Amino acid sequence: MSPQVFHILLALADQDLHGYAIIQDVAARTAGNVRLTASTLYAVLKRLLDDGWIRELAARPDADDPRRRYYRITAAGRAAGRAEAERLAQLAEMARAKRWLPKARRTRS
Amino acid sequence: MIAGAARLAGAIFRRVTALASDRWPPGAAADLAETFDALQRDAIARAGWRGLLACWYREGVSLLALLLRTPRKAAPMGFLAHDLRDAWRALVRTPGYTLLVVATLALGIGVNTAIFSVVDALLFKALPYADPDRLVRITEIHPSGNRNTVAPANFLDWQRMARSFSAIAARQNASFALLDGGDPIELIASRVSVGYFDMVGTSAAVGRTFQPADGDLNAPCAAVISNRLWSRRFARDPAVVGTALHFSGFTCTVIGVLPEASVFDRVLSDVYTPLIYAPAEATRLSHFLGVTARLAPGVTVEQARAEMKSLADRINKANGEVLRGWSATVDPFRDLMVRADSKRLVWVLFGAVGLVLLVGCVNIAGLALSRTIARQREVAVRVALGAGRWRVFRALAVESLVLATIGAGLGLFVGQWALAAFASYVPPGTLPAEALASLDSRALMFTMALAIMTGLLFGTVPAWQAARGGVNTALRSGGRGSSGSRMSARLHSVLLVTEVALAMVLVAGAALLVVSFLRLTRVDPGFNPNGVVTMRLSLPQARYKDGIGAPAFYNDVLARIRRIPGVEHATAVTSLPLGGWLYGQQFRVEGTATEKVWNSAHIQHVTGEYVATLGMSLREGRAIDDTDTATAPGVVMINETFARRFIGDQPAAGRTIVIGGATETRLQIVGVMRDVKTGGLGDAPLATPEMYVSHQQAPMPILVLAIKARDDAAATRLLPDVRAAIHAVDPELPVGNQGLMSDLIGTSLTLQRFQTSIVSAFAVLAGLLACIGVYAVRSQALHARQREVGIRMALGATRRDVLTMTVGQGLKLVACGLAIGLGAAVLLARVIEPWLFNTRAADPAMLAAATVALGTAGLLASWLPARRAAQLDPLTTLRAE
Repeated sequence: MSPQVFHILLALADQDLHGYAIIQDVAARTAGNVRLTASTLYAVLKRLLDDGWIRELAARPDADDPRRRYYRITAAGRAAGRAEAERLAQLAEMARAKRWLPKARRTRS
Repeated sequence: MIAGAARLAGAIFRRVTALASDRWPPGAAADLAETFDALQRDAIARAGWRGLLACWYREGVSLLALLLRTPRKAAPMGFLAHDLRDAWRALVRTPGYTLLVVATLALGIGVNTAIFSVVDALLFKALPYADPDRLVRITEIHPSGNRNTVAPANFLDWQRMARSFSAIAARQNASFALLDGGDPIELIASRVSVGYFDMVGTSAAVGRTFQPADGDLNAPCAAVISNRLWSRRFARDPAVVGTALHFSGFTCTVIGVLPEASVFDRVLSDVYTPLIYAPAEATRLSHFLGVTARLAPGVTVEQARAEMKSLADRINKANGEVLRGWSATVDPFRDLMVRADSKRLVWVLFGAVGLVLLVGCVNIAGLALSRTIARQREVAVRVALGAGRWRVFRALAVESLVLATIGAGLGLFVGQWALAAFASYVPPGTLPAEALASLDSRALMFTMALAIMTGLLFGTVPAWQAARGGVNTALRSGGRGSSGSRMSARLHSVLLVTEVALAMVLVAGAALLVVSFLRLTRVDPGFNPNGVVTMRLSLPQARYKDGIGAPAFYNDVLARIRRIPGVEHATAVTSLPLGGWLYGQQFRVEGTATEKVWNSAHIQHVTGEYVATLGMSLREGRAIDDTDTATAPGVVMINETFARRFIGDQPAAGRTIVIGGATETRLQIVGVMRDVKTGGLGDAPLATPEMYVSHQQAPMPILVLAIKARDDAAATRLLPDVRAAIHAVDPELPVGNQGLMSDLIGTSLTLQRFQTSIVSAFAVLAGLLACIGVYAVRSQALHARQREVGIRMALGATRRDVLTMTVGQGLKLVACGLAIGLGAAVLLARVIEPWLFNTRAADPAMLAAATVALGTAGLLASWLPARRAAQLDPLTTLRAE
């Protein structure tokens, strides 16, 4: 899974968003390090729609620009995102074992 | 400005993304564009222009990468993105080269786009009217076979009887004097049938256009004004509807304003009033209406044409002699709008700018080739490290495409500017206003296609050259003296010959036009413009109905003007020579073999002192003077051509001419004038037959005053006094078109000057580019052969030997290009032959001059690098090895 796909799935994890909002969400979460371009975003959205990981919402907020389309993550998308997160976590664990990363400091929650 | 740029970019983005709708979620195109716009807004808010440019760069590269990538599952971030990034870096590393190439391309592509948009609008695009293909123009056909404007009575008959049209409307140009304090202002006006605006499909921006009731004989005068006049005089105040416009002699109420930026803002008229004819008033004797119609559903142009022909026959029969030989016909509106000569003009310009762009491309190809040679080592290292040849080729090809794309992007701005400049420079009336509209999406597509083509044109040759170069030799020799460089030397030579040949075509064409133009300016016009100042007076129909009072007015004005100190002569005439207005008149000459036959000649109405004021001369008899009053016997003056053609060798003075019309008028010939170039300096050696009648005996409301002083400066100083004299007689009369007669001669050559100067400008540009190219190619070639030159000199060759050899080599190539270009020029010159005056398309002297001119420039361009090569110290060169 490409980083872009992962970031987009993350952005949609807890809210329905339209394209521009996804770009903003990703940029905000990564402090501007990952900035999706419009064309990349929509190309990825098309793949995700084709794969059934997200779907387009029929309804939208009334006051909104009618051109905007909202997207929602599906169960399949959520599962794929989780699997990728697992894989990343395992990778991080391996890196830690080799001391490429500092030991994870458990924060009390 | 920045908002405009963002809007333009948004439009481009929309178009480009629409090309690949299969790559976005279905129906998301608008959403995508909206997102792009939002990103632009963000970028501008964050960092202004810098932010916007950065945004364009990121989005552009990403979009291009996406579009160029073949949709393959396993290539998430295809090679092309890398290519693009590499290309970008390489170009940024050599800013001089990049700037030069981008500037050349932006200029070339920009001007091409502008001219394309004119060609497109003129020849391919729909007219800016509703359902334009159903619009036709109906014209009468003069007995001579020429299409002619329409007589009002005939128009009224057509309107009543023709079945082929859903609407028929007429239009007549007029000029009104607007009085609103201060000096009266002359407004160009059109009187149109009340159905005119509905027929072309234009509704008012404010208020309304005409309704049938406005055309009633007793209806109060209603006026529709242009958006231009609304902005200029009424500050776009919507309350203008209902206000009164006071014209000299009548008042109209404004009922509506035409839409902004419509075709009506690009024609001259500022005021439209209804064209109303009481059937009794309408004449069949003068033909002056322009008639447009809309075909009824299902009717073809041929059917309409057939109906109009039989209708005209019927009308003619009913009216006896007056219309004998006349007919009527129907043409698609577009055919008449696009005259054959405007088509030729735009095609020639399109060809010329195309050639300039080609020379530019060849030039850039030369530069790119040199750059490739300089980077041979880099390329060789890449290949040695495992990059495939295809990969190397692609990297370099992408580099040129990136350059071309940037050039095209800037070219759009250049194009917008060039089109505006072109529109203001092209002589009025040469091209229809519709053709000079703004750049649109079609021009945009053209630019993009041009960018890709030019990119391939100047980019692939060097890229291919680089990709096929031997790795080992390049690495071993440090990029010199290898077989690869021999190959590129050959390529360089081909490029040099090509660009000289291309430039030669333009230079030869320009040389022909220049010499033809010079010959035209030396033509003797048959009159002396020196010291003559002219102005136009139009007596308003409302106060001088049917010319009554006009002779008294002009007599009074001329008498006052002749009393002004410094005035030598003063006269008034319907139309000055070269003035562009010619009226035809039917006549027959008594006592000749053809006395029963009606012929047609131009007619001018003149007051006394006409011949003296304009410095013309008489061959026989006397000129018309102020004693030829309404009560004196009717007189007429003719020109030599008239006498030769209709009277023959016998004396003409004393014979009688019968002027046709509602009532026949018999006039006695009192004098024969020498021929004058009436229509234009390029008139055939045989002038057209002309008659001059006394204004007092045949009054006309619109006359041009001509006043002769010692010289042009003295004549200009007279103007305030002359205006005062006119306003002393009639304070409400606007004085239009004040100017010097010598300027009028210049104006009459405007079109020729335009053709000549614009082709010459392109030729100079192409020649200059070619010389830069020759210089660059020869420098490069000699640089590569430094070692050879050093060895030769070490072995005893003198500087002179080296100079002769190297200049000779360059000159041989230039001569080759000149010969090819000359051949092409002779073939292509036929296209501009109709523009040439007394000059043959294959005029050997001019072609030789063009060859010498470009050849000299080429010699200089190859001599400069040769001299540098000859001044090298052989020791230094060889030691550097």
